Amino acid sequence: MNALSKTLAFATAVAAASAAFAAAASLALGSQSLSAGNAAVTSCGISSLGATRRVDNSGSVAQVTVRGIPAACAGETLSLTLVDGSGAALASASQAVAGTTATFSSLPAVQATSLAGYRFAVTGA
Amino acid sequence: MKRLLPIVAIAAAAGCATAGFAASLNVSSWHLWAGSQTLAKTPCTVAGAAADTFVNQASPTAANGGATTLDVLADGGSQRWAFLRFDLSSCAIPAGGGVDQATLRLYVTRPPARSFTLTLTRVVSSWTTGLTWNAAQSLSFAPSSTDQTASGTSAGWVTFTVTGDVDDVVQGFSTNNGWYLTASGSTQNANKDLIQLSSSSAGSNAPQLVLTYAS
Repeated sequence: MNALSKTLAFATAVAAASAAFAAAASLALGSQSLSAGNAAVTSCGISSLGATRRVDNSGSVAQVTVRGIPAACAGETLSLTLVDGSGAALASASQAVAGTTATFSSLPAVQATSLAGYRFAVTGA
Repeated sequence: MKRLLPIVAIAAAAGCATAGFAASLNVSSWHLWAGSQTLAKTPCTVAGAAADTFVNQASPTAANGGATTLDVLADGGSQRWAFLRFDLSSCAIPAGGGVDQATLRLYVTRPPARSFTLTLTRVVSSWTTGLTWNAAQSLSFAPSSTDQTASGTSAGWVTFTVTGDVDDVVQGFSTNNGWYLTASGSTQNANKDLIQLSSSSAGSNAPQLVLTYAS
């Protein structure tokens, strides 16, 4: 039994060390505190976002304005993707949120006739 | 001891499995939200201008609203400019919608003897069908033209791409004051080089604005 206890203790130690190594490898530490356990990932209060685009006379999307961003999202990162009818990305851009609207004006050239929708993502600490 | 080796192996494997699972997570934020918006595309044609007219340098106080033609002439002493504006309300573009594509179609009823370049420019000031040549001189226009096309020397439709101008009106970036049309080229004979297009009062081949909007 003594040998069994030692072996089980050794096995437990190996498993714990592996788990600890895995946790450390997976976390991107952005703050000075770290706690273990489950944490719910929430939004900064967004229920939905909507976008409008401005088109020039050549038919290209000159800028896209995203509206409906809660003030609580300030400082977080808004990612915008323009997609075509099959859902394929036509252009993407990201910028820090600095208000309740965000204007993307340096997008790669996209014809408005090809634009079928937008995808949004907001991430932040 | 040998019987315990499998237990050790299982424990180690469990640890590695945990490592594999954890390594697949990217826990870098506390806030995460994702969503999407799909655009619907709707075609619309506005047949007939809400207002159109032309002004004539040779008759500087004459108003030509209601004429069946829109006259354009490049001649330096007797230039003629055409003006037209469309009412977009019939398209019922919802708030937040924008124009993907817009084409202005004009029908040439009297082609010039030689081909000239027709230039379409957005009008910034407001105007009415009572506009005269003299009054037109004080209007403001966009600093650059919207589009140009060769008039050709035969009757038929000529088209101009006006997507950005119409989109700006729909989205409130500019006021709907329409466009004015001029001709450029070396004109020696006004009778031969006059270009006439169907107005909304002509009864057929009236100006058209063909567009598709997204909402």
